[in-house]
Amino acid sequence: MATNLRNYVIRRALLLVPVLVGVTLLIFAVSQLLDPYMRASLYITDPRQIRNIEAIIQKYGLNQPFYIQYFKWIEQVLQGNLGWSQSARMQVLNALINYFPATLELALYAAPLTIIVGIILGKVAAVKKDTAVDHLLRSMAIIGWSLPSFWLGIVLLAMFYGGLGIFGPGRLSTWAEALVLSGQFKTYTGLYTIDAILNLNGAVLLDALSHLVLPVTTLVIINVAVLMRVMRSSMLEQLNKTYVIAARARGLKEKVVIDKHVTKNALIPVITLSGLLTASMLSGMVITETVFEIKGIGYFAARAATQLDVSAVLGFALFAGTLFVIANLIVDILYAYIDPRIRLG
Amino acid sequence: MFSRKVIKEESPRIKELKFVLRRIRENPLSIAGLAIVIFFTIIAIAAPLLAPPITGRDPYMIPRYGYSPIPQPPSPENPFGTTQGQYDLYYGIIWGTRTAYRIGILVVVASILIGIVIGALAGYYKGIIDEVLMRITDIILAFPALILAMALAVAFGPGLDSITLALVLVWWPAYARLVRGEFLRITSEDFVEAAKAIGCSDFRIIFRHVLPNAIFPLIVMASLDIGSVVLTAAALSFLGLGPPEGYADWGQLISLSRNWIIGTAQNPFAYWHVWVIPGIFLFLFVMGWNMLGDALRDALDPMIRRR
Repeated sequence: MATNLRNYVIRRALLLVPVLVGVTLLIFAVSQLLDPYMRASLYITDPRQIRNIEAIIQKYGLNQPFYIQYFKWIEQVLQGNLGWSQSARMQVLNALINYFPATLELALYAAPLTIIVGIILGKVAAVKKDTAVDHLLRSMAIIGWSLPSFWLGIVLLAMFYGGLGIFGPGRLSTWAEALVLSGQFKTYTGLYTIDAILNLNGAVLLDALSHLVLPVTTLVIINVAVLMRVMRSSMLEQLNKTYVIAARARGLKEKVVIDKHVTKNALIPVITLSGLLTASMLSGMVITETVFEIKGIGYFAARAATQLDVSAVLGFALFAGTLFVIANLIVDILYAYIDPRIRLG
Repeated sequence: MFSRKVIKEESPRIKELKFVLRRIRENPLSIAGLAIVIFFTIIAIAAPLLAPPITGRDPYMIPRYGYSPIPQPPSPENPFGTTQGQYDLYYGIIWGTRTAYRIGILVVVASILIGIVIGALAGYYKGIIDEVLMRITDIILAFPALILAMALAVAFGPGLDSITLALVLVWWPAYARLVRGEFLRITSEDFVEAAKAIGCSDFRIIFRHVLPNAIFPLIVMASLDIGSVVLTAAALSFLGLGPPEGYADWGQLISLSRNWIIGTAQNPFAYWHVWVIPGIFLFLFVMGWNMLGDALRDALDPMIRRR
């Protein structure tokens, strides 16, 4: 069985190559909608090069057939050159690296919380199927699923920040930001809550956490509904299986049947969704970061989009697409590990 | 005796339809969803009566009463008040319903049409055609919808048409996959074999025999997607990729409220109307369609409904 799993992982990882080529082809196709003068920003590493734009067009063959352009572009991408971002005033790759910690920090709290809450609610709804609790949870799921995230963010900000004066936008309050940028505070990871712990600074930790409350709440409310639904229907499907009847017939307590037998099996489809959810959060929460002014890669991309900073938007899309493809790979491997039947397929 | 005879003569399709209608009637969520959808449909149709446009002007451009940045609260003349820049919020909401419907229906219908063509080609002819077409859908589906739509909208340049086109390009693969799956399932059935045997053309088999049997899942998916499309379009518009300022569009009205979340020192909710009203309308619209789509799925999906 172990070799089976290894073979599966190798086979699946090899499939990554054509998919990644496809992702780059799609981004390249989008870039082809632009005229060569705009596309030049995808190649330059320094704004001064703009002055001699014809040289760029010549060098990277921007007026040549698309397949030549594609290979010249891929060559640059593989070397880490995603072009120059006008809106961030730095290279796109550097911008993505600079803005990523804020996104990572937000996802670090929002993703696990969403997954745990979704699983618990879905389980409760399934066990209490067709009762008032189930109906209430399902109605809440429809509400959560229909709420515009940007509006929910605005409502939460107006209520808590505007009304009560707590949980402000941004990542830190002004005083904490000044402290973090000063020499007294060492930056290790760029994730302020973790850095604060490493610096043994409780005040900054509390401040960073309080700024995370509203965006994390928004993300949980928006995303939990889908997870809950899948968990609920997966639980119901498992509850109908004969092994449940057998377990009950053996006289197992209902709690044991639900927790040990049904829940474990019901979790399998939830894994896919959890993986994709994490990937979608890591690929930048464009809306949430914009509303709460959290300077992550989603914020960076949204600002770039409004300023028609093409290279930044395409670089960001390439990053997000790659992340999704890798997340899918990890989910598939995880599946094969949990469910031996998949390895044979 | 008479009633029994009627039941006997009922064709299975009519029986199925009656069963589905009963399922929809019995579900309170579907009634609520339907009511909300009808409410918005009436607003969209009656927009010229509810908020008469000034003749000779583009009816989708919201009239403004001055240029002051400070929003004015609801008053008898402006039932919903004005936004930043004195745009008439009531007018914007009413005509914004039309914008929402236009983009929702355009994107979904275009996606269905593309999806049917691509999905039918892949699912009916199989082989290399299937392989190539499905890999294309795989790649598009590998991206988060909002991010790809954003990149496309930037490439097309901001505007309502560019958002619509971007969303169609992002949305069709899901329909193509659905249609392909249905085609693979249906073409393996005996009646398709029989149609081939008596010499029906491919065109006739696809459109007269296979497609009608794949119509229910398409309806369910379309009704569930109207809400999502409108939500994503509003998000793009909120980010500033939508129509120019002053166009009746909910996403933009919400983005105009961003500077007025915090009220005055005396009243923290002084400008509540600019963020509450457009948001409620967008939310209700999406929820109505989601509830209706959800109920349709419950009623039409044989896998879950008889549980």
